[in-house]
Amino acid sequence: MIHFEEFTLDNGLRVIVHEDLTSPMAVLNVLYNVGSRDEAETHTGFAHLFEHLMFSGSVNIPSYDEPLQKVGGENNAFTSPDITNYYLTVPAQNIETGFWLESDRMLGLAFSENGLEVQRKVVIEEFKQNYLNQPYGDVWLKLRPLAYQVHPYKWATIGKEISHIENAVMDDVRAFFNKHYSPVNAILVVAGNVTVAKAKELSEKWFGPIPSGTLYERNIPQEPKQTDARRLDVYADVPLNALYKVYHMPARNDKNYHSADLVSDILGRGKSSRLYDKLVKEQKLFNSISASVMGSMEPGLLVIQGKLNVGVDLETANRAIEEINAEFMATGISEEELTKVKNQAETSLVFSEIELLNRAMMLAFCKLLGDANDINQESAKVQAVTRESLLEQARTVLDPNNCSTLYYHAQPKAAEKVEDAVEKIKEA
Amino acid sequence: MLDRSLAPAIHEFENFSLPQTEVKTLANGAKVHYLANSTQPVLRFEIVFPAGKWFEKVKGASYFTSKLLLEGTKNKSAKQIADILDFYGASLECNQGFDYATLTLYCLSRHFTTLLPLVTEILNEPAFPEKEFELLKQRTAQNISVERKKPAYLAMEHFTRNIYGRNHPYTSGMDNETIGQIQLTDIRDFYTSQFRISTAEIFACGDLNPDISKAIENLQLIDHISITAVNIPKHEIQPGSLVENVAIPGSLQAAIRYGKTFPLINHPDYIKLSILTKTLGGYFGSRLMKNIREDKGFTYGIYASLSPRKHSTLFFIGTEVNAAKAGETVTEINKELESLKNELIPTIELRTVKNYIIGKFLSESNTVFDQMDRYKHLILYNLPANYFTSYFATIRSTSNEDLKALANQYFTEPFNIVTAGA
Repeated sequence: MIHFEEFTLDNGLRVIVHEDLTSPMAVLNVLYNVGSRDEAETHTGFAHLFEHLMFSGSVNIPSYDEPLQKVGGENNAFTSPDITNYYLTVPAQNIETGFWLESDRMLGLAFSENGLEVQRKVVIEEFKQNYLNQPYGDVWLKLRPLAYQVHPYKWATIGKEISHIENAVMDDVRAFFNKHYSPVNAILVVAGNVTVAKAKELSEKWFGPIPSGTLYERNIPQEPKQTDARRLDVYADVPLNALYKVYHMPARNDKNYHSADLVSDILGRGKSSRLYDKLVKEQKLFNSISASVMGSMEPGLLVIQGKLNVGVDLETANRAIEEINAEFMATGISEEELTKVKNQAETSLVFSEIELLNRAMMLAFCKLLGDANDINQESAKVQAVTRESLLEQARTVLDPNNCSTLYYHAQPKAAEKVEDAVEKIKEA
Repeated sequence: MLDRSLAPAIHEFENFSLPQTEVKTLANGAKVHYLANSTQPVLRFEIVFPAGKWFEKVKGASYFTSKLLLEGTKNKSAKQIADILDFYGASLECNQGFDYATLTLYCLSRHFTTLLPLVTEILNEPAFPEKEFELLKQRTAQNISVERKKPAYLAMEHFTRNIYGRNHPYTSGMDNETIGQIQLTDIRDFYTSQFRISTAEIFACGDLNPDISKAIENLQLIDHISITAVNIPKHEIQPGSLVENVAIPGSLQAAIRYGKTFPLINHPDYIKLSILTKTLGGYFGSRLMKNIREDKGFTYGIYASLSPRKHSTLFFIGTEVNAAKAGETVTEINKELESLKNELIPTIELRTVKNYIIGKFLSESNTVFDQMDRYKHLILYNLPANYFTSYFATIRSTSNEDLKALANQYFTEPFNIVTAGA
């Protein structure tokens, strides 16, 4: 049970306080209700680039990082398709420095031209490092537009292409700030060794005077139901063939979400899962395989991904997965298998509550979803899944017509080399 | 009216103090270290063996023995083991490194006594099945072929090879020759000589209770041989070239590794060197990050770190930069090292570094797992029980003159530099 209190400032900022007096630390987590789904298709990657600019000085404070480091603190941020989330951890005595810094950049930025120019370069290097210059790094750049044809989930948070980042200008930055970065569009979580009274006082003092801003109304096109299987073939200089299958599934808040989540666990969580046992161990088709869900706020994806053993053909591998799915849809699961995935889910939940920062992030996310107390309902929702609800979700989600498959072909040159290597091992 | 240009007052904060641990020596010779904290109903149970790469007679023995341990016992298949662990939502892994191999069980505390017999069975009666060995070798070879497509992996492999020598255990990476040559008998030998309970340290932390301690103290783990001492082999360093370029045609970035060996963790200069390294590249506001990322935009990130091992410490700078800027980056790294040798670190910067180090230490000592890791560090590196007290005292007392002198003593040629890129 995670205890918390919540209140809303006059300017509309929602605040949640989670006291944990056993920790010497305090955490501030500021969630802004904006992600890459809120970008224009011609300016993708912008929410994330903007996140970088939040560290390039605010209206009254030239450097964000230095004053925080000086008081023993540390911070970071991430951008997802749904949200942009900023967090800092600091020895609790110095939590006010955190309030000072976070509130000033909610009030306004320095909008430094030099900052923008440098961060464009930094983000381009990030793009190369994580998506273009890594084996299989571009998978999501290819998969998203295959699975989503209309919804902005069709581009990756890093952006569709480097040119979108190159083309970002200061006017875009100002407009984005005015539209999304204001008290009414944010959720503040104060956690750790700070009393509710102190958190309230500091929230009023530092965030209270910020103009509330305009509530952002999201109006983005919904993805129509997929009715035919989709396929994309990609050829790349990688050593192993790889297969990615994604299926549309319910949104994070949907009553069927947890059943669909457990469908992915049955298929591909851990070494006892069906896909791993059958395809890695028994049939030896895959080098590795797993299944998971994206957990996005709008209807998301269940993902099956695996790398193939050398010499195995992608069509064969795909058929093998389809067969396992078909058997699942035909016969369902045993009570024991259901207990297993529930136990796994319960353990994950309990372990996820160990870190203070994690609790703060989850509270903010649950609040955005509608109710901070959902953090304490997760376990019950998992336990409420039945064999029937799970089977129903398996039949709906794993329908082959609901699937987009990416056949990631190893280019012959690279593949030969691995075959040689594997031959060598067999001979030795 | 609130003056937002003024920072709030800075408050001093306490140092870390390690919570009380309890130690017991078992009849079989193993030491158990307990750290109790029942905030969450979870438990971590680790058995640490002197079974890292340092102890290998045959290359790859440490890795393959650790991984194969979980792939079957006399009476259970790999699948049966996985079924039991997954059924209870537990995780059991054996991970190895340069010096040690560690078998780690994470579970909800209420399942611990049910799962402990499985741990015993895995350690006492591993089957090392031929079929699983062949599969594991194939998977490993394929995974390495993927890793070798990553500039950072190649850079680190060549960098450590040039520092320690191709056959030295502290050299990163594994090659196909190693995988091709290793035999099941090598695995069995390594298991028999290194995975011995009489030489192990056991760490149990989390939601402990008397039943759990009793189960641990009744562990029926056996040694297959009766020698009591651990034989610590010696390995000679055989340095390679100082500067190497690894060609990766078409690579959009170049991975750089730049560094040398530093004194061992128990050396009197070590803590001060860690401050110097932090200043150079150990946090977001470090000199390298400010220069290479925040000023020039050549990279997404650059860091300097100390990687302590039992018999050597590696100091190195790592980054992946715009392929066209690799040469310029190396020049800038040289400048930053020179600046630390020639100029005193400004007082305000040093204060920031010190507070950052202590704050970061506190925030990474927050959970019972973190705290046990801190304690484990003392045990495995033979550091004194009051180590953290002297650590913080040294951090607080080190002056910028001290650091300048150390920079001149340690940031000296030769450095090893590897660039992997187009």
